[in-house]
Amino acid sequence: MKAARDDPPDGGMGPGGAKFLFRSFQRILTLNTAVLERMAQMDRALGGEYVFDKAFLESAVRDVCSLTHRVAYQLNGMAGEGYVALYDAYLAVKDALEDVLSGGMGPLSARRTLAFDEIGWEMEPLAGLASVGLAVLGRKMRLPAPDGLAVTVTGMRALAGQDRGAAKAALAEIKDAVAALYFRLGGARTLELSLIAAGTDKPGQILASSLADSPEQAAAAVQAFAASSPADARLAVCLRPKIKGPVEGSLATLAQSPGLPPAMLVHASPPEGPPTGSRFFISRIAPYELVSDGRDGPWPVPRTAARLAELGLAAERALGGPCLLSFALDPGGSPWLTGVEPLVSPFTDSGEDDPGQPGEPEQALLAGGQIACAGVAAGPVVLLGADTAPASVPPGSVGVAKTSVPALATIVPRLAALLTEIGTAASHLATVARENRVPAVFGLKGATSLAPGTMVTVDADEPAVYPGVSASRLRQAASQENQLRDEPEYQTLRRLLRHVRPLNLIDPQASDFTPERCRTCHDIIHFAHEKAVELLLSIDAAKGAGRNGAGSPRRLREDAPFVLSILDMGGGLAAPSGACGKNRDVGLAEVTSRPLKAFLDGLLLPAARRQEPGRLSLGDVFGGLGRTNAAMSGPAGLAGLNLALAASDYANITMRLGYHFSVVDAVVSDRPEHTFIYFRFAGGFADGDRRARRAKLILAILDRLGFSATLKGDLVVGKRKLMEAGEALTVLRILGALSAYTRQLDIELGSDAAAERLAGEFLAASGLDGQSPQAAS
Amino acid sequence: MTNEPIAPDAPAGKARTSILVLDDEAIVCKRLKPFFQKAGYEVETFGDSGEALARVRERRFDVVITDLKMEGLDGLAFLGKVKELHKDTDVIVITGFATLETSRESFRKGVFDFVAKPFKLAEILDVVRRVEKERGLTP
Repeated sequence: MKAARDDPPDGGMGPGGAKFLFRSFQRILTLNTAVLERMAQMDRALGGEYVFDKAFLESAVRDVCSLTHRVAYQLNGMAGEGYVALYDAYLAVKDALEDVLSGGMGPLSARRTLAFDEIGWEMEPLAGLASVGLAVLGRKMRLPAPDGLAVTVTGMRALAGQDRGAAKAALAEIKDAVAALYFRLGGARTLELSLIAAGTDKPGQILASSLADSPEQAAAAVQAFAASSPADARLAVCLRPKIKGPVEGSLATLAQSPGLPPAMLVHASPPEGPPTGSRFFISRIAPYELVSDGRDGPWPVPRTAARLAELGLAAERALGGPCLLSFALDPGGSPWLTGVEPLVSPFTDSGEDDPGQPGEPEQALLAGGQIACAGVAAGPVVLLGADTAPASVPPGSVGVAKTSVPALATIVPRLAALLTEIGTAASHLATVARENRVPAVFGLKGATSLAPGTMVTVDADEPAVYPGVSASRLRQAASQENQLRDEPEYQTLRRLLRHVRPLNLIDPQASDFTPERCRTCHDIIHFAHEKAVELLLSIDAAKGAGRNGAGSPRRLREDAPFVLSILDMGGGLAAPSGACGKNRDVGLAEVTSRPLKAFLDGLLLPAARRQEPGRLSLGDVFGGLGRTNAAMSGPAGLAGLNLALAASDYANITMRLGYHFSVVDAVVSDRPEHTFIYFRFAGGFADGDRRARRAKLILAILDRLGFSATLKGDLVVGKRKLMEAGEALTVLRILGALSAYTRQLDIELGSDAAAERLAGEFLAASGLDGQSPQAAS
Repeated sequence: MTNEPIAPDAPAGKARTSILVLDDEAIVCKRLKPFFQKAGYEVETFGDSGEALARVRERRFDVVITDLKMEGLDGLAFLGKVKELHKDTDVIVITGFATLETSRESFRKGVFDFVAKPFKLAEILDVVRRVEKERGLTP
């Protein structure tokens, strides 16, 4: 095809050009997927799905690092090297991963003591899990955990060794470190000391505890720990102030019990009270209600229990797996984390048959499918559909669905296990199941034939479904998981994943959404994705159609409510017809971009246009003058230009309808994790009240469409992610119709009642009155 | 070497398919042994190819699962020895380092199939079941 005369010489591929930005964005999407897939494979390996060896760990780290680096590179290409700090974040993560792989204790390995402020995750082999956990949770994540210090493996070796000079120096250093801690705390306190296993044998377990009231006592207690331990043991000590309050206890962040969904288990008692106090389960789902109260006790207060549950889940996410936390309530009743240990077993003692003893051979009800999340769980069958309300699903059920649609994601945390007849282990729902550690089998034929209410045991490891509660399978799975947890490869993988998987940067609007705050590979690729979308959204229509853009736009010849020009970014439009491709107008049938086609389908619906004449007052005209001024002062011929950048799976539609300014940015992929829709609506040729009503009306409709939407003044910003392609196209059709419907709507928004009526009319016309867009489709 | 208990799912009175697993990465043996036992197989695992070879000289296994890259006698050499001793033992190679050359050599020596590391337990079970089907070991 011969290029049109006004096409730029570089075809828009130069840095900053629309095509360049789009191609870079596409590369970021592809790379992000590759990182997430590798991350998921590591995650699934940790969950027991894969048999792997050391070579797998090395290649996984190599791949994840290389892919993450390329993501940072592509973003910097898009942003004119505007995020070079992302390279520093990447190098820090890479160094940490390489250190874990080499079994090293990091650059501070010669230190005998470390203040919590100096400790990071990578130092677990040097400082022990308790110190590392409390340091990261308290100092870095700002959760309620005390300041403190660690006597390192190096320090403990000095105390236990034959070199008396080294031992003396270590004791002096411990006293100094405790004095420094007292200074930070504002005075002397009673200290709690825990001896921690820091080697490969039961790593993280607390082996002994002690109390001390002065630097001298603390040093003596640490020396006593060293004296009573084997000389070659790899040990560390955690010292922190003892929190004194009315209640102490422990929180297992994951507890499995027959008939209950995965929950958190709390043991609590007064500090001087009997060892058996309250024992109760808290739901892992907000608002973290009590799901079962095993024994009576003076505690819990629901609000405190919920706060404790939040802390537990935050700690679990940071540690990369379930853990056992110690806590104490301060005199004001607020929980403090006082200790961190690995969780020995998520299975509670129900007093049934011996662990690991196989029972009679069982006949499976169903067998086959793909392991979406390994594990064994039991519960009653509940049939699920895309419209099932989460609250209607009893916690602890075995959910059974026809297909693994992302809409079920909100239900997953309530389930003991999940089965679907259609779906793969690579789907978004499988990721959600793994994140929530809900055993899941996808692609299991006949799953929906299970009768609702039937008690079944899902053995996702096989994978198969057995009748009733198979206690032996539940216990065997727990026992095997425990054995695996202690294997060096699993310990290394768990430590690696802490630098890869957690997503700490969640809110792109937050002030700390910066490259400097990226602490994991996931942070880096998420940051890059958000910023890449921002850069795409900033593509200027004038620039897009000009010399630095992708080429000359082609005009939509349909009866649209406004003139729309379309720039083809690759696969967005059929080739121009006619001699030498001169026939450059396009009809709807020639639009091959799936998201743009769907949007135009909605936009061109005659029923979506308001037929009633607008009633414009003088106030409306004056109110809109300031807003139209910028558009009117733009380059001749471009004021009010409506432009769509289109590729086969992407569309960026900028509509400057004189008074309104809207942007739709969407990727529709067959992979739900790629699919997203951004919608922005601003401006309006009306007075403030009417603009505000229109913004609220749009906000209400976006809410109904499942968007995460915010309203600032009359600027509405909505985002939706993770959808199946069909649902995304339905949403885009509705957004197209909404754009036509609201074109001059604010003129009619004379009252709140009118706004409600118009919103209702639109929702009814879209088939959205009372159902989800998925159902509407 | 480790001894195995009676597998839970083995049909009473029927000889179970015997499997020898050889991998110098202990984690691989620790994963495969309980899995195959749970599935009803008789399993012995070895981390040293010399010990494994001594055991193969003592008795015949229906299936041998071996890593390729090991200290001492490597997987290819072990494969050759097993086939010399027991032509009807089928050998499955598990490796993360398969090259065209090693694949060609393995097939020349009579390997039944390759499974690339990391692998899912179901994948290797499928290969063992194919062996059973071809050898008429399944009812």
